[in-house]
Amino acid sequence: MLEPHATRVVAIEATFRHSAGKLGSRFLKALRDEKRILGWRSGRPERVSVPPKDLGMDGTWVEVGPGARLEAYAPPDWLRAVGRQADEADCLALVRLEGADTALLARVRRGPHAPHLSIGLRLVARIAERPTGAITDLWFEPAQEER
Amino acid sequence: MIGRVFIIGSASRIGLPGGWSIERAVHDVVEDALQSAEIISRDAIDIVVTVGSDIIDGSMIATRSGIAGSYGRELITVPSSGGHAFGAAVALIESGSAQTVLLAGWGEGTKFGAFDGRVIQADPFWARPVGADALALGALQAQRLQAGGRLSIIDAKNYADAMGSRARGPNGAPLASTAHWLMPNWVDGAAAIVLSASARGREAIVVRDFGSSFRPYCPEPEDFDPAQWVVSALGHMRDPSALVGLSLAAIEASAPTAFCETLALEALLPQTGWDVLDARVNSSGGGAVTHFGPATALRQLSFAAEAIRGPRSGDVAGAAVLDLAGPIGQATTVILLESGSAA
Repeated sequence: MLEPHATRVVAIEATFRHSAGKLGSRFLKALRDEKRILGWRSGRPERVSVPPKDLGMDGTWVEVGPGARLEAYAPPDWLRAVGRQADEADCLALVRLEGADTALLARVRRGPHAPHLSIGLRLVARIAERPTGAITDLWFEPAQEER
Repeated sequence: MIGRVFIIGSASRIGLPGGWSIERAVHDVVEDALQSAEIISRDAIDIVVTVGSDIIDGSMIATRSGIAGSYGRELITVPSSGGHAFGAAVALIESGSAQTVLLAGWGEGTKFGAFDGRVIQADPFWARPVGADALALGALQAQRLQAGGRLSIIDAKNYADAMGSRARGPNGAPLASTAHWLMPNWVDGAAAIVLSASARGREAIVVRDFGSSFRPYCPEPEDFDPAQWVVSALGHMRDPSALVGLSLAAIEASAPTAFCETLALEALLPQTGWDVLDARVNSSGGGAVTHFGPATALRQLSFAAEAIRGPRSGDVAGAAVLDLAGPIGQATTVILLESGSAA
């Protein structure tokens, strides 16, 4: 057994004010104030990114969604197998909005009668009744015809 | 090829959280690495490069290893990945800023993963608020790769079991009997490497090449494959053909999860003809079942250096180290080492 060093535990409590940046702020404000989902068309070749990626180049805002496609998800049973509480009806997913070339992380809420998740499942975006300006104002549900 | 940079000493230790003194282990790996480099005085170290989960961890290395009192010595912390810290240390020697660099890192299992209540983490706007922590993001990555036919969970489980049986703790007993394919097996660990512009009369281990590539916190759906990330990192080497013709004594890999690690290895193994469970692959047990955060790959580097120093049949011996750091291994670095006689 190694001879331990003397130690002293000191609690560190720190807060930090993060910035969403110019483009991220515009995206979140549009979500909150206009209930619109915006993509940023920029780059060479041009791509529409959601959430917006600042490539340091000019670009234009375009409205995307509300239709979307499921690209991947975190299977709740896998997470439960390693001790994590995970809900079948609400899981982390990677979603590509119609009109977007990139995918964003979001929650997919299925409800009790929704189909099993699978890549390619058609989704629709939902925005909170009273948005706060956070990405959690936005979530996805299976599109009506998939229910 | 990298301008002449040599590994002249290395050491590493791992243990179960609470079962040993990680503070003492940090001291001892530095001591052991300096001894193996036959460096008697810490004054021979020009610059110390550290890697840990944050700047505080990095600065603690100076205190714990007994070099805090050496005022004027430059201390550089690289809290991203062992591969990036290694690159920084090599660059300092190549540029002439230092003759000899001590590269050291450590991490505590209890500081990470399921134990970690910290909220100041990457991507506070787009990932964290929707629950995309390391475990959930890893599960999403695995699901995507499984659905695309790139991941066999049975293979990943077999790999995790095999690596768990190889990893040894301070008393030589198997360390990770419960290694899981989907999440890191958290341990306490520390590692130190001494790099120099001169072999200093030691058996030479040359840093042959180095390449790195990086993905955002959440890559695009078509870009989740660790093997592709390794290929991309190889493409950033100064001599992308360096791997071809180099007789490898070992491949060491470090990723946050066993499934990520085994897929990353697929990018190199076809060139060796080795199976993923070959004894020359991860004799250390690999990084996923002995994970102590961003510094984990330094332990793999230490094992790779030892493999080159060990008995071998041919004149040319090299070793490759894959470091895939970050929640899903998206900060990818490939390092090629070579015996001095072949350089």
